[in-house]
Amino acid sequence: MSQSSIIAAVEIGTSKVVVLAAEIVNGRSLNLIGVGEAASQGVKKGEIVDLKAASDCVHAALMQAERNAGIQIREVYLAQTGSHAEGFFNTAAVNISASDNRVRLADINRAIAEAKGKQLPADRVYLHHVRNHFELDGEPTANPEGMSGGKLQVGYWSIHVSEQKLRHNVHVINGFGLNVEDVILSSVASGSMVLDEAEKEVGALVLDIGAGTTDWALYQRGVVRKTGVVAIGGDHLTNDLALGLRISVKHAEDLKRKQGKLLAEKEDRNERVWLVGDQMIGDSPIPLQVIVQILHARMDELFTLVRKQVGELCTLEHLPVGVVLTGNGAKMHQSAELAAQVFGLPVRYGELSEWVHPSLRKAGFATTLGLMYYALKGQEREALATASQKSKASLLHRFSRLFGG
Amino acid sequence: MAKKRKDSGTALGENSSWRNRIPQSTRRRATTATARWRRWRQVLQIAGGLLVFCVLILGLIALLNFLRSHKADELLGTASQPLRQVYFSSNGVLDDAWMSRTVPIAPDTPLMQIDIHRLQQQLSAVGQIRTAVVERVFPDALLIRVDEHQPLLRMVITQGNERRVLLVSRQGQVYRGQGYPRQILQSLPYLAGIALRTDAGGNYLPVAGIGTIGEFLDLARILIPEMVTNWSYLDLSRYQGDPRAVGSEIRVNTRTGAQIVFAPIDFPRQFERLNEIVNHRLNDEQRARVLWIDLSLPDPVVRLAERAGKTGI
Repeated sequence: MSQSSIIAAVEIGTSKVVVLAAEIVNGRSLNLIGVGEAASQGVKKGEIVDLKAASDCVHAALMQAERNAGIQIREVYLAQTGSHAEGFFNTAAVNISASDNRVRLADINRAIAEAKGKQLPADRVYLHHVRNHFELDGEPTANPEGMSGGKLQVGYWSIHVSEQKLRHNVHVINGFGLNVEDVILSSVASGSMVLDEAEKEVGALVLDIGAGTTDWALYQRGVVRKTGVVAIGGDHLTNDLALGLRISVKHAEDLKRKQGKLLAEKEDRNERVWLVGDQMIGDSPIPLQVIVQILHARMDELFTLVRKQVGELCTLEHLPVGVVLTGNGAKMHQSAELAAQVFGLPVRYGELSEWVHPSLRKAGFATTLGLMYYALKGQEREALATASQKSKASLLHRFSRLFGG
Repeated sequence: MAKKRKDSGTALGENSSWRNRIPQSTRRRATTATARWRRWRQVLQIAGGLLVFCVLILGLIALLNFLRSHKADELLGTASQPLRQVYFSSNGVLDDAWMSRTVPIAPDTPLMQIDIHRLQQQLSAVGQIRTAVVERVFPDALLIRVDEHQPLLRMVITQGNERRVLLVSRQGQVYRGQGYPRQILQSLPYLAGIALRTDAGGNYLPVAGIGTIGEFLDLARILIPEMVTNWSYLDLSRYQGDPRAVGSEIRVNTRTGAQIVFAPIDFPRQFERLNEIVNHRLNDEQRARVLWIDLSLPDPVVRLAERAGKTGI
């Protein structure tokens, strides 16, 4: 008999809330059955600042997705962003306890517990512990159990967030009558969608430029090596334009979308664009170069901040694939060219897989689709565990029957 | 259930996981109008489902109680009106009068109280009837259609001191004919030379091979009609129902005393020979002396009496 669960992936972004509803059948196949979107309220730089307003828009998006799907959602996978999300790499080393120097499961568990056991300040909670590879006497190994060696080392990239900020997000979902099944960092979610396994193995940096924040995740050897969040997004570019040109945010947003570019060219000096576009009283033409300068400055700052956070790993040697841009903020004209200049790495725009429905194959859905990917992975693991338990039970049953049981 | 947070300034490893530190409860008060509406909708859906379930259960209980307190016959009887009309139709000679004599139905009996199955069995038990169909025509009529056996031969049996005339249909069914006009019965030749058998209920079992005899008589009536009217009875003592059996014969005895022997196959050829013998080979005087004609042999044999008496064809 087929078992299905109805799940939702929720991204509470600075500019909009996106909800994808899906049916996972037998923990193996995923069918997207509903979409809900609502303009964000009460969210700044990816953090909830007004619980009531944020609840209103998140619940509206959830309701829309439920109506779209024609069925009630049972559990939620939530994307987490915000500059409060931080990470650190912690390693732990243990000496092999057995006299024959063979690594036992107990040694592995001891190393893992030590690596994940680092104290956090009272107001911080762990979101993920992403395990990097084991090292046995300095040699990387995927599974050291049974191997011979003297010292086992394991490293974890541990992501932690502000308990209070996460609590707000969880309570918004609980307020709709749903439980949060898992919380996944936005950059990790979107990274899983725009990179393939080979790229993750070789090394790549994913930049998810949202409206209020930019989330990044660095992949090496097939796992997340480092993550970070910069509290600059597309909205900052709009605000800079509004302040610099003394126009409304709405007009600045229009100007950014229609005329925005990041690299100045010769002809931009002479080209003039209308500020508002209606050519009425109050509207005036300004040189395009001014707009480019404002946008370039902010975007350059963003990329430079990310490069600083990535640190010494931001080289072609560590990241042969280069930088992959995603998120609505990355749609800005010449983003890739500017990023290539700042990072000194090859840059491309992330594309979603062919299996994604064309209507959802947009940068703005990368995070929610990534959440779905994690949800499916999680359910696959559960299905496998259940199947293994069943097979064990069946084996025991057969064994007991041998003795007339 | 909300878990108590540690009071200490720091927490170790798994205890610092968001799952352990942030309690979740879907029973928490809905925080927005949308969520409240969703919760109400869920409650209404559950309540609606329960209501439908309860109504179904109560309905079932009520129905059972009603059925228990009223006999099914009463329920069914009151649903129909008293019988006012019986429509009887037959493809034979039986009529309404026979019907009302044979299976009388009390007038004004409620239609649903008439046991049509029993009625149908009663009609089917009448030997003359092949099939009977009984239908209720609501609100107050009964429709009875019967299919009768068509008589082919008649036979006389003696039971004790009583002589009885029975009829034999084309299907070999032996029955007591009712309602046939005299001229029909008189046109039927008698059947002799067979032993009737009965089943455990005393009903006569069908006579085997009568289909061939029917074919024989039909052809005779077409090919030699003048002679057939003079046939008195058919002796089937040498015919066991299988036309191909060696030595099978149909013996026809005429009213004038002659006997004609036929083989139960190839009747047209035998009738042609008989016609030729009687009308072309024999003169009037010889015809009056015919005692026996055997057409079952490859060459027909004619035996004449020395003088006319109880002879002739």
